Amino acid sequence: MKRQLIFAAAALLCATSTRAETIAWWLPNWDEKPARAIVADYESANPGEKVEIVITTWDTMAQKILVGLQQSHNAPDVITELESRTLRYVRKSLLTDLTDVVTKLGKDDFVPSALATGEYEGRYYSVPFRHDGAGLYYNKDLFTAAGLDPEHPPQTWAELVEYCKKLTVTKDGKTTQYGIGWPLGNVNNGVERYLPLLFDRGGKLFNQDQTRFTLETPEAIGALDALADLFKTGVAPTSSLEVDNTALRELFLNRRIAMYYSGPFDVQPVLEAGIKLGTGVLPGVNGMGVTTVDGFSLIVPAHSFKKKAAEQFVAFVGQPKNQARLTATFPASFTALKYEQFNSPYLHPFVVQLGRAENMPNHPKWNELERILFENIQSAVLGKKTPAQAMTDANAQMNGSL
Amino acid sequence: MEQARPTAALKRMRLPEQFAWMPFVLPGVTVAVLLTVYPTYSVVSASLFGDTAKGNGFVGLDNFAALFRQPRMELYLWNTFLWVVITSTGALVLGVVGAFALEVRGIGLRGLLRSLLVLPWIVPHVAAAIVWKWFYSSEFGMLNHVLRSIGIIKAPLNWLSDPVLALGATAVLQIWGTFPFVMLMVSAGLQSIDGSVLDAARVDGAGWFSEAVHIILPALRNVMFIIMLILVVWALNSLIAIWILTQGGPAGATSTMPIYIYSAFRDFNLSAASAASCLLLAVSLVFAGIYVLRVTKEA
Amino acid sequence: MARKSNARTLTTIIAYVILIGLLFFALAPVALMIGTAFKPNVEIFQVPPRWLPRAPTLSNFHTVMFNSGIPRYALNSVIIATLMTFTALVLGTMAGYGFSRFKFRGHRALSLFMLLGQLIPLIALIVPFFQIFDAVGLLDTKIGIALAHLTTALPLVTWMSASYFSTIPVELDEAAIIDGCTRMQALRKVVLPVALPGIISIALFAFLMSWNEFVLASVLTNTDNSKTLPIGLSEFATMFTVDWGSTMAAAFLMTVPVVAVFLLFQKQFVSGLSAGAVKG
Repeated sequence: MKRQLIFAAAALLCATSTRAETIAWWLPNWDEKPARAIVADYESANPGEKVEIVITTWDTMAQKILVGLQQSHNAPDVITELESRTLRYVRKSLLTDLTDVVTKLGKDDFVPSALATGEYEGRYYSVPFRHDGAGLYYNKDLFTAAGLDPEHPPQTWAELVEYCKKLTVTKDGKTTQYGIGWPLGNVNNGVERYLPLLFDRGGKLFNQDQTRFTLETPEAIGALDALADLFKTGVAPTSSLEVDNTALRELFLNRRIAMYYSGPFDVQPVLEAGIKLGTGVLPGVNGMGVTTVDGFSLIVPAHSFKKKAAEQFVAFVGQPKNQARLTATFPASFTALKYEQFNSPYLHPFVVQLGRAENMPNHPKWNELERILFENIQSAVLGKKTPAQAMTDANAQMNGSL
Repeated sequence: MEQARPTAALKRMRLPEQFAWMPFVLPGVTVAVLLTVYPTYSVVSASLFGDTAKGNGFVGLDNFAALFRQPRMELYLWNTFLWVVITSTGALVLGVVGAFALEVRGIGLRGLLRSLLVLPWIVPHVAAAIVWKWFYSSEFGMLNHVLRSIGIIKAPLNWLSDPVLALGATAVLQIWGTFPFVMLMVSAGLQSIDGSVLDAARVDGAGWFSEAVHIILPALRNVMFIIMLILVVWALNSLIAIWILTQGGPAGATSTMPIYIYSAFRDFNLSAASAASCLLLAVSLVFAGIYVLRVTKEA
Repeated sequence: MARKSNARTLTTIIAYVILIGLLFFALAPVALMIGTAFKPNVEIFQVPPRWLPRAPTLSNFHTVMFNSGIPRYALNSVIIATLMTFTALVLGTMAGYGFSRFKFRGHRALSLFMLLGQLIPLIALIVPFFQIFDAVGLLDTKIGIALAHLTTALPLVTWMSASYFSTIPVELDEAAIIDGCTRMQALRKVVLPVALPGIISIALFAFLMSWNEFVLASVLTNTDNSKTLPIGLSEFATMFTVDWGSTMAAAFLMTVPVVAVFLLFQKQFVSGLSAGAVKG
């Protein structure tokens, strides 16, 4: 009897010790559907491997991920995180080196600016699967109504301003339609749409080694001036100060604004709402402007207990065809970028725009500093400070916080 | 049974059993201590230490110094003060007025009215904030739409994007969500006032107003103090209302200390969050002090 | 006589006016919320804004109930709020009774402590709560959230109970004790029933506090294990789109049970107290 029991116990132990590896993948809620499909494929292609999905949200993911990475006994195994935050974690030694995975997938297939977001001292700590920048959205019907050529979006900033004037419709003292809108009601969105203006004019956020901010420059002031001017001349609504990207799109869908900047993810919703959409590259001072790029990549915590399984899964998701499935905008792989789904006439300008792109800042204290910059931008737009004053203040305050 | 006054016998019962109070008071107090003392100690000591990245050393009051170097710290403190005062007063006034109105003799359907008026308090804050944000929207908002159709205003007002209007507008949301509670508490308090006292006053010919002021309000003193305390607690804790409506903007006009702490925490700037938390604790202590002085004056 | 009834009518009219005004104020946003819950997404941002949907739909409710985490979060919220309220009531009313009926050394100090306990803004404690829960393994658990909510609820319940009890004449207890009850029995059988409306509003208060609490819950939860309804509401917002219709539908579903409970206890409220108990 005893021997049988021991055998049974041993058998049970063996069975449990050869149990499947379950890895935990943290991903944001907008990716849930394609992620589940990818996981299903992975699990059927690799019997014995299981992936448990934990959903994060845009609002709280940054802080949760930072915490998750630091947990020594309960860290997840794979995380989907914003590209521009990757280096913060790398500098704190919180991430696993994924260079082998990148090499396996083919380093040269990745869009360089995407890979750069996870590169540190020659090694790669993330596998990007989504990388995109902004473009210009405009309403072709409103263009036609204003006497503008619907197939010819503004190519330079001067043209943009001119178009805005024509597209702003005022009746009985009330403006019913504005030329352009900006998401100045949300810190991240607002700053993200100011930086292209700054970079286009050759301005820089900080000096070479990111120890000092350099915003007290004619370029920075000029950029803010150009932005504030749109409001001063009444071609942009002051309600911009209430809106984030999503609400801004609503303004566009309601034909309150004729143009706005956004990423490729808005194409679908705009078309579904029945707007006659035109897209173009961002108008810069001398032609095509600059876009900020950002995206999402997969990272593996240094504290994960299942690194091998995690890396294997990341390699699976990193394949071009899976990147194409997972991304809500563009993939980070050149191969995948050639797929038909990314080359509709609407999306084409976005791809072209990627030719002049700069990564979003990845300074460890960026979040707090961003807020200072944002409040000063708001002040300038509200007319409470001159752009010069606002930039001087922002620069001083941001440097003071460093 | 005849209400005798067996004082002697009861005095014997009430007094020392010196420890009679313990089984009642100690369990609750112990749990409360566990839940508050250690975390408070933790946050105070955390505020005295530096950022983990910089080596976690004791930095004394450096974090506080850094806090005040923040360009807008005075604004945040001032906004916090304004916020607490405006929202507490507003909710108090509306709640008391509502409770009194409900008690007036001729009002029918009290239960129904009460249940309807309680809804703002019950509705989840997140959803309520979103709806108010729509209300206030200068583009899509009901409020501007209605006001303009009535003719009260000509051009749409920027409730949330005008620095002058924003704090007040946000405060209205908080008042909206908290006045029902005040109303409920005052109602319950009104009902526990001895009916005979009220009847006596009426017979004496006191008008309803003087009746209210001279008899009822004093009798409600206890309840009112509690209510004010809770309103202040809620004001100091309220985050969602402001966060969803304005994220603390425009240009910091609605940024209060809780908002600052929350943003610092989201940025994982724990030393700033801890220092600001201590500051907020100090502010609460001031309110606590006022409350205690009030109450002990009574005793 | 005529003057008095005129005054009374005037008072009644004023009261009605006030109440109707308050009703509008209170219900307008709620009406918009309900209207939106039944609107298809296209209608939500129309200009000019409308209260009611042109083409009402149940699709948002369908999404909420079958395509979201809301049902699971509802279960979590119910468990957490009930657990927390029950604990706070038991511990708090006992302590409140103790504070109101007994004089003892340390009465002043302890009651001051309870006062301070409530005044601690929970925001100020998110950092330590987070770190402590993480160390102790309470992160992402229902018990953890209940404990976190208990932190403010317990002192508050204690204070409020003490306050209500102090409006109940001690004679009531004394009568019960003379009749042979112990203190505890006096509390249970005599004092509590009389304080019932107050206790009920305190209970509702504590329950709602937990039911609607968002900030601590978002910081201290990660997975379906412990996520609560308010978090579920915010999850209808992704980075790029917000499903407003579903958010409002979920909010509607979250509100209805609480309103039902409130309506249920309305009677206790309205029927008033047995203030006659002492008058014998």
